[in-house]
Amino acid sequence: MKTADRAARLYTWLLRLYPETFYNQFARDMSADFRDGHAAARRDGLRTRLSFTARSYGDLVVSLLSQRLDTERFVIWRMSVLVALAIWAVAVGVASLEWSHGPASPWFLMQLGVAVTAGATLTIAIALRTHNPS
Amino acid sequence: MTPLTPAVFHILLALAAGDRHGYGIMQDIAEHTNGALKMGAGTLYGTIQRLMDAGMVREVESPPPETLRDERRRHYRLTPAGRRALDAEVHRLEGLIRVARGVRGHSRVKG
Repeated sequence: MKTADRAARLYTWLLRLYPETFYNQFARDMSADFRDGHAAARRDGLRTRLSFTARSYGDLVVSLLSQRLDTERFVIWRMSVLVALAIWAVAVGVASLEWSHGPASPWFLMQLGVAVTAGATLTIAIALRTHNPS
Repeated sequence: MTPLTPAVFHILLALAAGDRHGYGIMQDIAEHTNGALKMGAGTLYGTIQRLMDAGMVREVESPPPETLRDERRRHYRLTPAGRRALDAEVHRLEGLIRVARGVRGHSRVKG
C-alpha cells in the first residue's frame, strides 16, 4: 500500500472519533479534502507533503478535542458537580462520625466549616462556569 | 460589535465571492493570505458548523454549475446575516487602518 493511501486511510479512520453529528455532516468532505490536499502537496515535493500531513493531523487532534468538549460539556458539568458533592458528603460524613464519639472540639468544627464551605463554593462555581462558558 | 476571529473572517470573505465547498474555501484563504494562513479541515468545518448555527452560512441545495462544482462535496453560501457581519468587520478594520495611518503619519512628522 502506498504511503499516501495509508495516510489518507488513517486520517479517514480517525474522523470516526468526532461526535456523531459532526462526523455525519463533515467526515466525507474532510476525507476528500485530505486526499486532494495530499495529492497537491505531493507535487510540490517531500517537504511540502510532510508539512501538509503534520498540519492536517495536528489540526484534526485539536478540533477533535474542541468538538468533544463542546458535545460533552453537560456530561463534564454533571461529573464535576457530582465530584464536588461527593467531597461535601465525605466532609459531612466524617463530621457525623466524630460527633457520635462526643462533643466536637472548636478546632474540628472550624475544619468542618471550611470543608463544607469549600464544597458548596466549588459546586456553585462549577455550575455557574459550565453553564456560562463564555 | 465583537471582532470576528481570523477563521470566521476569512471563511466569510471566501464565500462573499460566491458559493464554495470546503476545499475551495481553504484554497481561497491560502490565496488571500499568500499562503500565510493554511486552515486545516477540522478548524474549517468546525467554524462552518458554528456559522451555520449562527445563521451566517447555509448549505446550498444544488451546487453551482461552474468549474467549482464537485459532486462529492457540500457547498456553502453566505446568508444576508453573514454578509452584514462581514461588512461590519471590514468597516471596523478600515477604521483601525485609518487610525494606524494617522498615528504613523503623526509620529513621522514629529520625528
